[in-house]
Amino acid sequence: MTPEITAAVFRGRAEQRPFVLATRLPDGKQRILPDDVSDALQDAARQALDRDQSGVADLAGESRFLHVHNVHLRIFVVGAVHIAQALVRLTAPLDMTTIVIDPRPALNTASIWQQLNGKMFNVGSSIRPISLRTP
Amino acid sequence: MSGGVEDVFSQVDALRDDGERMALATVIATLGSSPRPVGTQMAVTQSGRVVGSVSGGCVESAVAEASLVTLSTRQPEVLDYGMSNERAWEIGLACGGRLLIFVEEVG
Repeated sequence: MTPEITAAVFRGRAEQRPFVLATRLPDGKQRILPDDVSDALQDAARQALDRDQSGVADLAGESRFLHVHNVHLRIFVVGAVHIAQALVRLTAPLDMTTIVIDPRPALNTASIWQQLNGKMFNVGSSIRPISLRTP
Repeated sequence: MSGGVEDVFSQVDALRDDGERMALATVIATLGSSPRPVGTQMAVTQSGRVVGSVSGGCVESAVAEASLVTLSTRQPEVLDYGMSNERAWEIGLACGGRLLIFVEEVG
């Protein structure tokens, strides 16, 4: 892995951008996709991203390992009371990001969420109640 | 993100802060029973520090050894562990299955 590729992988992950690191086997030549080249590897990388599945692909007599770096699957939980608190405990060991949404300040207490090893963001007045009912 | 709960790659920078050269081993294919999914990684530094695991204890010592070889030859390598391999019993994949691992130096 060249320093350029290493840096690009770090950048893609930091920006939470889905990408594929394609490694030619066995010599290890690497390319990050999607890029602006239109070829069979581009299509294979797109499919791998869609399926969220890493694996070896054989293209034109060459083997490549397609390592999928997708953004975390996210669980949005609306309401931060008992059920949400139990649910967050269940989702903690999974490879997912859990986001709990509740504008009520009384429930937005550090003690609850720190206990669940969560981060708390206080959005305050930036959230306005809206109706989900369509007219 | 694919690759399991333990995120080894995120620790690459911290490990390299010590100025050590480092190899990265990635599970690229599995067949039959295999404890870790494709994409799982393990990092091995030149001084022999290991972060992460690629099989849950079966082949780690062999992979660490191969990683040190890759660091000295500067050549990436595909490691193939399975029942067809005479060392399968010795390295611990006694329950069957096959494991392919790519080892490379992280520049």
